[in-house]
Amino acid sequence: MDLSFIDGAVLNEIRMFVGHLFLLLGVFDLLLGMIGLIRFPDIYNRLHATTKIATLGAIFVLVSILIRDGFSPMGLKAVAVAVFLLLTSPVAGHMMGRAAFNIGVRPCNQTVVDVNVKCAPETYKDNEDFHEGAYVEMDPDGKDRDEEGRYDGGIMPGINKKEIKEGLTGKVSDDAENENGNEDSSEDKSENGNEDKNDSQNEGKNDNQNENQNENRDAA
Amino acid sequence: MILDLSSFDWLTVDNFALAVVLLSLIPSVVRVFIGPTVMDRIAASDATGNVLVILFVIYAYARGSEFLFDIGVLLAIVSFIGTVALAKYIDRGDVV
Repeated sequence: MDLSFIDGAVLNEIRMFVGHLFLLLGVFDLLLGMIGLIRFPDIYNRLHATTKIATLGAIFVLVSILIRDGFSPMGLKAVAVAVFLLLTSPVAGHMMGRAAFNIGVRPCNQTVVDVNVKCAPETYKDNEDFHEGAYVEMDPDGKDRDEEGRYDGGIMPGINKKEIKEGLTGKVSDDAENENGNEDSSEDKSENGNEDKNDSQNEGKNDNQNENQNENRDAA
Repeated sequence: MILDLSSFDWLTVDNFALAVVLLSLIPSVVRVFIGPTVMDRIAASDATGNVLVILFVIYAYARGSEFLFDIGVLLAIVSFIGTVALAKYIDRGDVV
């Protein structure tokens, strides 16, 4: 078979062109992930966008380096990093989403809930790994939802340390559900929720201090 | 030639990709600062780590040095471990 019509330089040009194409694809996916990270309204949507940076974007870039550089030391390192990212990035994304759900970060108010989320603790109670109180009921009474199952006025509470502790002990403070229901952007709501929460915390501290002072006076 | 391309040696595909990656560092850092919840900040810092991996990888290829590639490997590993540790700490109040 006569293959002498194949020009090595032309093949090299084609190889470099395919490599550049993969590189631009990876960078395009990176840009899409960044737009999703800055524009999506919710931590769960943002995680959906940003895990694509590690899988699609980084792996396209690494494949482009493998194509252009061949099986050199750099190309083999690219294969190793690609396999590592393919294995670890979904794990990290899953753990972040799980932590966000467990400490009670609410979804945005366009979220439609199909299955009642109250069924989750009962299914997990027989499991030994289920640590008590790690689950926070997101909407125990269904009062945050309207007839179509949409969250109205559901906020994404700003997480501080006290709220994490409450989430770990299973108590949901009533302050997390604030009164200003019909605002558009969720960030404003969370800021307002923060302010309300801090105010109520300070009031609680003052009450405790007053009680302690009264007790001290009685003891005296 | 009408257009002398020899003075545009810097305009390679690698440099264009590096510019785009550097620009896309901005939204992730902005999200780290303005994120409403803690998990937003953690997710944004994880994305920042991945973007830095891509940046060092492309830069190592453009420089033609496989030693710069090791920085990308190291950043991938450290970013994953840090993200998992932070997520577990937020989840159950303890890392291990």
